[in-house]
Amino acid sequence: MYDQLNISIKNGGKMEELIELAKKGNEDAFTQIIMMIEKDLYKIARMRFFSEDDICEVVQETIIEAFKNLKKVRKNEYFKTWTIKILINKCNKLYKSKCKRQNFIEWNDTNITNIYSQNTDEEVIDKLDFEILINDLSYNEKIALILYYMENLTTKQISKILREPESTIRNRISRAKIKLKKKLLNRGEKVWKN
Amino acid sequence: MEELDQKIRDILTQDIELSEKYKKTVRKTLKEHNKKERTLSNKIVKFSLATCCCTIIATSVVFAKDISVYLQQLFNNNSKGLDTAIENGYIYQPNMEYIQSNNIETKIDNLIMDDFNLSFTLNLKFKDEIAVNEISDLYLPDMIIVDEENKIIYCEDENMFNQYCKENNLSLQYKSFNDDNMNSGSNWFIKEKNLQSNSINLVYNLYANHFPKSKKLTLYFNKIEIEKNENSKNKLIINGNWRIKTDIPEIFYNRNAIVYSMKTCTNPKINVTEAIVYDTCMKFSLNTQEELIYKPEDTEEIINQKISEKVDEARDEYLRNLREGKNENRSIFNSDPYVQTSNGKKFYPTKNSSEDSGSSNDFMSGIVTYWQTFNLTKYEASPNLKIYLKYKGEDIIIELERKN
Repeated sequence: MYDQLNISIKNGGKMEELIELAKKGNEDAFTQIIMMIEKDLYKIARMRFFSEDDICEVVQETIIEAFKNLKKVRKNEYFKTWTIKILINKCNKLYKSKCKRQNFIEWNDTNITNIYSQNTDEEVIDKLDFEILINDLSYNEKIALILYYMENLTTKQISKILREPESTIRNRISRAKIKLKKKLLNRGEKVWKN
Repeated sequence: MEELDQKIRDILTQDIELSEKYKKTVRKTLKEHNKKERTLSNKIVKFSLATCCCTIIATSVVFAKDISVYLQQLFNNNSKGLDTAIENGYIYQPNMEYIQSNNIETKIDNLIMDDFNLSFTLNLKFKDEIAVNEISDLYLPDMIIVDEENKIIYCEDENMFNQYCKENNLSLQYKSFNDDNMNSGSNWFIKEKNLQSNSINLVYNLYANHFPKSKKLTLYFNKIEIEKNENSKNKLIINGNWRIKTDIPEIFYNRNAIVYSMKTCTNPKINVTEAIVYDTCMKFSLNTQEELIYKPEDTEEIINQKISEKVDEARDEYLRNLREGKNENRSIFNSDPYVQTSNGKKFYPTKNSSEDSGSSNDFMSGIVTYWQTFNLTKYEASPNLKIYLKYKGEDIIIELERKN
């Protein structure tokens, strides 16, 4: 894929410098920026959707939106946060339309967690993986966690992205952590989250 | 919580494998978009890989459908049950003097405590050296809360915990939770600032599975961490020695709950194990017996093997459905249960910090357990209640009647 596009990702290329170049019309720079964040965009879209088609659709729209409005980004250091905000809005929009059209049932609160462990809490913790982590929580909890831990945003920044009170964001993160901790300590039990 | 914090961070930042479909979409979008940009100046057109038409997408800000309404609650804890309790007088406003240390005075203004929630507002008054309008965030990193029996109600700082235990000859372990050391979580925020008195109202919401019926609480903290002007790098730590003691009113420590028992159920296999209505919520749980996946005559080795295979099979099916984007509701219990009182009013699962819900499936015994927290409080409960839920697609109605 990279060969087809004839792109070389420069090691150590700084995001902000690339954004500046992209604003001036450098296509390769914009491509490199997206390559650098494509996994993060996937993870965030994955919080809302399980279908690859849906994830592809919202990320595609996000890339287009970001390209179209790139010059509106005042501070290059906030480009990624700005792009994530676009993505979350795209996800919400698609989700709403699917709920109306298809009697779409969100089942992302369902999970199988196999936490059989005969050993220490630390070893139980080691059994976590991405799928278990993201699917054991509600969407609101997942998105707050991923923005807090993966993007290292403050609760205030997250509250601005999600347009919710900071107290609500703190509440969600705290509750999600308690749930995970509780489930991890509940050994040897297969747990379905409703 | 530090280890868990790190683990969550590690998991979320770990490298993942992207599907070919996704990678193809991103690259094609970039390629086509760059190509169109070269040939169509100042015009961006959306395209689609599948069956969608080309459209122009305008930037818009969309509120998430499921954003909770920002209610002007005292503790901002997103709990209808908590609000109902407060409206019915379940709130305490201690009449206390300020406690001062290092030019900062503090006292508790409001407090509420039940089995699952302990919320309070702390009023912190600063001298003129610190202007509260510059404070964007405030935190008490080493606060410990104990009751009159030296039960640790809350503590997130291990050093403070160990120091307190040493001074009070308590043989407790920081990560070992029991009735004497609560596994309580918290969230906090600045509720309001008073520029005239240069003070801040700080709200703390604590939650646990079961707070004791304490008659006195003492809050200890030696540090106040202040963040100024929304700049997380600009933090100030003020050291001091604050000890706030408060009595707990009888209405809290003599709190009692309404216990219900199952009267009827549309599914004869279902057994209600808990149906209790408290001041701020209702706890409900049931269990049912599923068919065993092994035979009684199977050896232990075969039983373990069958269980292991069943777990792997269920997990693989779940992951397969994820990848194929199957949107069926795979929960064995539906996500919209509710409890209805005699006057027809419905109460849904609570959304506050102390909500606890889920189900478990023990393949060894065949017992499936389900538990839920509803917004129904003592103040609205009727002698008879009905629980509505779905189990494996079947509508279940459980009638409850009051026992006490």
